[in-house]
Amino acid sequence: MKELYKCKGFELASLLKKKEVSSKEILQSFINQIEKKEKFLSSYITLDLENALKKAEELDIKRIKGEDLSFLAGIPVAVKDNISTKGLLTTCGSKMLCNYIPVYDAFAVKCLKESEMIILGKTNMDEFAMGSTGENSYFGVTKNPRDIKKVAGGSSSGSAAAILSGEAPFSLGTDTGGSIRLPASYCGIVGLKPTYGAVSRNGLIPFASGYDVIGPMGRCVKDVSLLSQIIYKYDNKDMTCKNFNFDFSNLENYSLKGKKIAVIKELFNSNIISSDVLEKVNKALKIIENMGGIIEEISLPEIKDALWVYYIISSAQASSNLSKYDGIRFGFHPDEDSDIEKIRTNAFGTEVKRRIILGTYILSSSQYEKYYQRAVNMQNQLIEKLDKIFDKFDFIITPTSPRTAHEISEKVNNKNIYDEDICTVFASVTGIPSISLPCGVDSSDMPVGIEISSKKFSDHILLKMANALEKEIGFDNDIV
Amino acid sequence: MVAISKEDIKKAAELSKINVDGEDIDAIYPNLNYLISLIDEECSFDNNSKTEYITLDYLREDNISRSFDKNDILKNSDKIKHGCFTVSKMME
Amino acid sequence: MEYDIRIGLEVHCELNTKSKMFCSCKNSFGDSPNENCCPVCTGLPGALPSLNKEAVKKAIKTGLALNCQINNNTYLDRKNYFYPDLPKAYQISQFYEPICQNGYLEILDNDIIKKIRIKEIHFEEDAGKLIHDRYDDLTLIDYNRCGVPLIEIVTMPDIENINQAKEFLDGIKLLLKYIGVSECKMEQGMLRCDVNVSVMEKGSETLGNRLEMKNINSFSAAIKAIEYEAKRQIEELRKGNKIISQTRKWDSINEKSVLMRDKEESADYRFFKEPDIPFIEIDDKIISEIKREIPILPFERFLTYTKKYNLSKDDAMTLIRDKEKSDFFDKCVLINNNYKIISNKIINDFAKISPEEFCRVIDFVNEGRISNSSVGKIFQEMEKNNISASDALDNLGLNQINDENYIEEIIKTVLEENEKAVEDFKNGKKNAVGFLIGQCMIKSKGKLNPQILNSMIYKIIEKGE
Repeated sequence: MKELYKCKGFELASLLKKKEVSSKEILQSFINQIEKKEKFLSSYITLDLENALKKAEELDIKRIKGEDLSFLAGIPVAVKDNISTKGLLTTCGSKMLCNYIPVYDAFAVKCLKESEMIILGKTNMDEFAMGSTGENSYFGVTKNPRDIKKVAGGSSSGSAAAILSGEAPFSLGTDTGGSIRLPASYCGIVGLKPTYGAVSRNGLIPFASGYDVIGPMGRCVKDVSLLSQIIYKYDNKDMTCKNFNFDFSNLENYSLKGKKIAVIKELFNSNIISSDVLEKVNKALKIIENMGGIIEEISLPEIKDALWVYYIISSAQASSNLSKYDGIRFGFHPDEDSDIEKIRTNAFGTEVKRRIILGTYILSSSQYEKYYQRAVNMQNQLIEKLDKIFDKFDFIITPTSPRTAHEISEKVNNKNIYDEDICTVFASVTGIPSISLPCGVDSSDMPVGIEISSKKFSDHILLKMANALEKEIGFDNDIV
Repeated sequence: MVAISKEDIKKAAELSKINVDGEDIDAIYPNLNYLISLIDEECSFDNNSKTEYITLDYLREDNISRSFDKNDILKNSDKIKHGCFTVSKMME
Repeated sequence: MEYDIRIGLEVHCELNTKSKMFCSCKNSFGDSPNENCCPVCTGLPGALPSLNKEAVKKAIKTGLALNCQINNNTYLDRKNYFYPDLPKAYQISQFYEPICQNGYLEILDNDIIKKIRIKEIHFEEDAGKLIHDRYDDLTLIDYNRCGVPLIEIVTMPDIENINQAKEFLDGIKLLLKYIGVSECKMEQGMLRCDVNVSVMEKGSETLGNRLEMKNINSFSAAIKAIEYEAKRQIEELRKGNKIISQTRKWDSINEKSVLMRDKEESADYRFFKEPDIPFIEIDDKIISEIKREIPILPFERFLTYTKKYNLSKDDAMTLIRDKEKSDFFDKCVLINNNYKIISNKIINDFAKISPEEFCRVIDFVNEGRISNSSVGKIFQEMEKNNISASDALDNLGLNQINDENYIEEIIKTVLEENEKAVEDFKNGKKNAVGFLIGQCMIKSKGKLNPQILNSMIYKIIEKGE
């Protein structure tokens, strides 16, 4: 039997159910891997292993007693560090919250606890979820387990790396402009950005309130589907959360025959997307055709507008969301004499400050109409456009990212930082569900991600499609 | 689109309660202007798209529920006096 | 040069909901600091607002009572600024689509009816409380009040003098109590206002530059502030200086206004739609339901009481200030048209009895069965024992005697027994009659109808001469 940390999540759950292994054994296997790998990777900011072990022991006793337990009970999970965990340090990857301990659990965390999953700890991330490489964390860069000279992608860098390195079988990430899908793509794992409003944001420390979503990440689509079932629950305390009955059963029961798939021409442009990525994504498209899917190229020139819409609105909302960090009720406050400007200047990283300043500028009265209102209008147009596309098509497919994981501290010109998001933001600004799964590797052996999106509230169907495709692609993402 | 000036950046930083020096402004300046340059000046202002609404039925019932102890609320600050948060004395 | 003043008011009213605007914490005054708090109202990271249905309904009710149009589609905005009493560093309020617009409140300026237009009413959350006087170097912050639902009622600058300002503030306070959205306890800060004063040459059509005054903690302070500010502006203009738009602070200790900031550099609140709260649709059916809950309002009652029932202005206002009494009056006048006496008795001798029985007692007075002065006693007897008017009369033995023969007999007996007093009266001592009347009352245990007694006794004495 292979080592437990190398198993996929659903395999572990089966083993547990068949009583071939205990929760404690599973947990210990991951703990050993963490101890081995963490010093190289920095996937985690905070570990909660003592409590995890206690919980595992409790569950093993329950299981022996024959108590009825949920399918993922006793399975470990890692949680991105912008999701509130009661009594456990929650930093958002920032110096500003280096001492912040929430007094309540996020709704999604409550869901994990209700299903009796075991929380291993809080994963590393770009500060306040702003970034797409994992290099913007106060707590150090998360390395890509496949090549530690390279970035893991961001902002859910730790949540992705931990899966690939065998430091966790499941993780929760968050996606605002691609922050689950991009690191999933760079690490060769599966990451789902749910429909906006499908998962409660209660307890998620916000970056852009209109785009933030908590989502599941795992080795395979089946794992992501299992974790989805746990967190896709209605929460009436989040007014943006919708009460929709998703049916995640029958994941395997799906045929691509006759399904119409739109491929956005502008995102297959070799000027934007690297040739390696194009090659692998096109290969996957061929596979889809062989499965009976009908692929049609469409032109959506407005897709490039999604980028500025995203940055204008997300920066504006972020500037407001991050105003509460003043050291008075919580957070970094160095000494008696610090005024609010000193605290904020000192404790926020460069990228965060940049976006706050941009957001403030955008919202200032003289500029509001020019930028924010315009962006909102364009966003509404994009939503309409996509609605029309989904009238005709079942899915939209694009590469997840223009390129694969690059070297850490690679000097990129300013333009390029923001363009990394070109493939992911359209799903963010329109609120539709979008999943990234690995479809091959490039010439430097780094994973390439293919991104599939579908219409709002069709997350369960999206998972079925992804599951079917994943099987045919047959990508090997064994633990490195 | 009119570009953001360095003076604009300085003012925005002040409004955000963040200190920036000349170097910071120089570093931010090209980033912000790049983003602004992407904005489509041509895109129309009006939009008649249907927005999603909730009705009054979806709003919270007016009931009291006591879920947090005072200590929980005060816990994350070590500058508490008489059960209150504190700041340096300010001009009224 | 003569000047006119124009005043606009922004009245903030705390709604009397059980819980706060965006969370289920208790909406209460006077509890120990930070007792009624949670992550939402203290702005802890990740907490989300959950809008209070009752607060929205009360805002709609207020708008309807003030003749406003209710916006069928409304939403909330963030008002961003830094201040320690504002934990999120933004207040969730309404800027772009306030829930109510274009209404009015009628007031009386001496005897003229004046309409003060309401520009808008919007709802928002209150901020926490800062305590400055406990320490020299520290300000304490209590977030109990943070998140309490507020409505802000904004008038057009229609108020032309101090009297109208007073009438408006009194009128608004009474209206808010009548519709049950607030207890309006001034000492608990439930009602506050900001004042906008501008001054212009008499007869001019253009308003002067507007000056906003904040930090006004009572309605009497508002009046003082208006008076001071109008005077100050007129003096400035007379000196030849211009008035620039400013925000000033009212210093209630020294009773003067002090510059806070120039409107030119006015705070940039960076309003944008609150992303955590969806657009809200209010259908006409709910609006009609809420409208049905609104009682007849004070101003309308005042007009009815003074014009239809001919009550004095003072009596009308005394009744109206207490809704329970006013409602009772409205019920009584449907049964009985002795309006003056009814109002008089409600004002002076009110008791918890039914309008029907109340009116019966009034009838007894008119029929002469009882004296006017006994009414209070009778009401109390009725309330205490929960009995009808006639039963009370029997219990108290208060049936008044109107029988003139009987009265004549008592008088004759008393005159016989008190010859000296009769002599005194005949010799010019007018007061002696009072003594004789008193003796008649004693003999009859106070039951003689005083008017009949009074007229008869003079006749009988004269006859006896």
